[in-house]
Amino acid sequence: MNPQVERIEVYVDDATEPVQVLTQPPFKVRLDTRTLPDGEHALRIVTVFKSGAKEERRLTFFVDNLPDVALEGLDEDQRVNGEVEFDVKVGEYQAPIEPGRTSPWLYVVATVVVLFLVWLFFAVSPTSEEIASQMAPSGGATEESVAQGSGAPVDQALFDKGKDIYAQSCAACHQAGGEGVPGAFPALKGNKLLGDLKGTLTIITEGKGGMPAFKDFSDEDLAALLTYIRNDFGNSFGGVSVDDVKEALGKGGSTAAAGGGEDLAALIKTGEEVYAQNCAACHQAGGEGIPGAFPALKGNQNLKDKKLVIDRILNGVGAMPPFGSSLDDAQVAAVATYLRAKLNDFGPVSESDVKAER
Amino acid sequence: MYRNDTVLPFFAILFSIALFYAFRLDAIHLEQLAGEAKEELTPGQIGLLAFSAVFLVYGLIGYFSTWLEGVELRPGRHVPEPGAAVAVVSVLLAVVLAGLSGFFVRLLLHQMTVGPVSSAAQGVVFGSIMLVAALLLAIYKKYYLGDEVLIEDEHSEVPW
Repeated sequence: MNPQVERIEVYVDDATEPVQVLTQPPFKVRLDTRTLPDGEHALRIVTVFKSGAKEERRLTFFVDNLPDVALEGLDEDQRVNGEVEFDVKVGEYQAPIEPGRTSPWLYVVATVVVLFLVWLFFAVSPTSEEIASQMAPSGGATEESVAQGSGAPVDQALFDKGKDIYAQSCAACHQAGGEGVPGAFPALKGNKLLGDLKGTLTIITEGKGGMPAFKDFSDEDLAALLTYIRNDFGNSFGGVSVDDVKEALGKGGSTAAAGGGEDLAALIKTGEEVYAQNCAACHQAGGEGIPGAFPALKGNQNLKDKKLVIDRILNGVGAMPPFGSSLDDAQVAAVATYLRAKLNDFGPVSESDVKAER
Repeated sequence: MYRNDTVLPFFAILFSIALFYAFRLDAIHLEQLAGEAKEELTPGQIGLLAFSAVFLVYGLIGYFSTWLEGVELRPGRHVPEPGAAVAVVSVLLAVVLAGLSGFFVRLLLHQMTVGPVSSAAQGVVFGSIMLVAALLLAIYKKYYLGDEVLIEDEHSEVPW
């Protein structure tokens, strides 16, 4: 409290006598507005200081204790004549406030119960347990699948062949036990990337980083090697068939049409001979072409289009003469296969493919 | 520049995205070098991620402030205006919060009784709980809590 204050006088309207005089804190004023008529009133609070000085604060307020009347049957500014009858409705003075039909506590309890039930459902329901069991760490999941085994059954003959290939071509870097050399050669043991057949195949055939590309492996070699590395060293990603390899390399249907792996090798050999006699003079023996004059065939993405290759051989283009009349279907298929499968990584071409283009 | 200007938050989030992208490129490059996906992060990656997270949080706080208070503070009493849609969203978020909390407990129990649960998954669930709780608080602050601004906002070079 300000020690300079002597007293505080509270006046209502223009009364000369204060309704309350406060001399010490708390300066709490209790005013029963029911003693005042409804309407606007003024409150004057006069602070008297010990020095005799006074300060006056004035504010107006509005008392509304009695309910207003409502008229039914007569409106404001309505024109009337003759006898008029209307209802006057007045609310009850100090009518008790009607208690709410529902206790607010009921809302609180209901909310808590509903939320608890939701919580409980997610905490104990078998569905959430099922979801939780699927949230095992990814590393653990791989080991689990390695332990349980997954994928296709393993062909033992392919597995054994793959073991030999691995010992000759891979073990020097990836180690006999597949554990690799940390920091230099990645481990194959427990390597979850092996689950990706296509990715693994790409790494073997195209190389990666310090690893060379093994382009000379036949589809069967690749299937054998993949079967071995995916199912030894504690891995269990399932067997890989020659068809799987062909499919992953994107030459499934064509290879089937052209025959098996041995037929393919024969076809490429024939194609190589046809190429040497008819094409190598311009496109060069290795298919590298002469820049600006004869396009390279090795590493040429246009050769991915089988029909285009056959069409160019049969009908020629620009300076290239047509070979449709000098080569039969088998020779065209052979040279096209040589270009696509040997000089590039695309699938072989069958005689029926050539026949269809003639 | 006002206290809740969005210029700095915008660039903070932009930097955050750039840093995260750098982290991803770094991871892809390391994967290519190693020939396998490494589980552990290098100190460089941790640094990139940490700064990305810091910038992200800084930017989000900025945008959050703007949403809650507006770009410019205006003196006076601000009465909240809750509506039916806000109430519905609040109820739904409360239910989601209860569900996520229950599920988090299930994850902990599963880990104790059955087997390990992916730390990343636990992090996602817990992060979601925090996010929903934060959203509920923000909705309460914006739509249910009255506010009074006493002084006029000053223009300054230093935001919030």
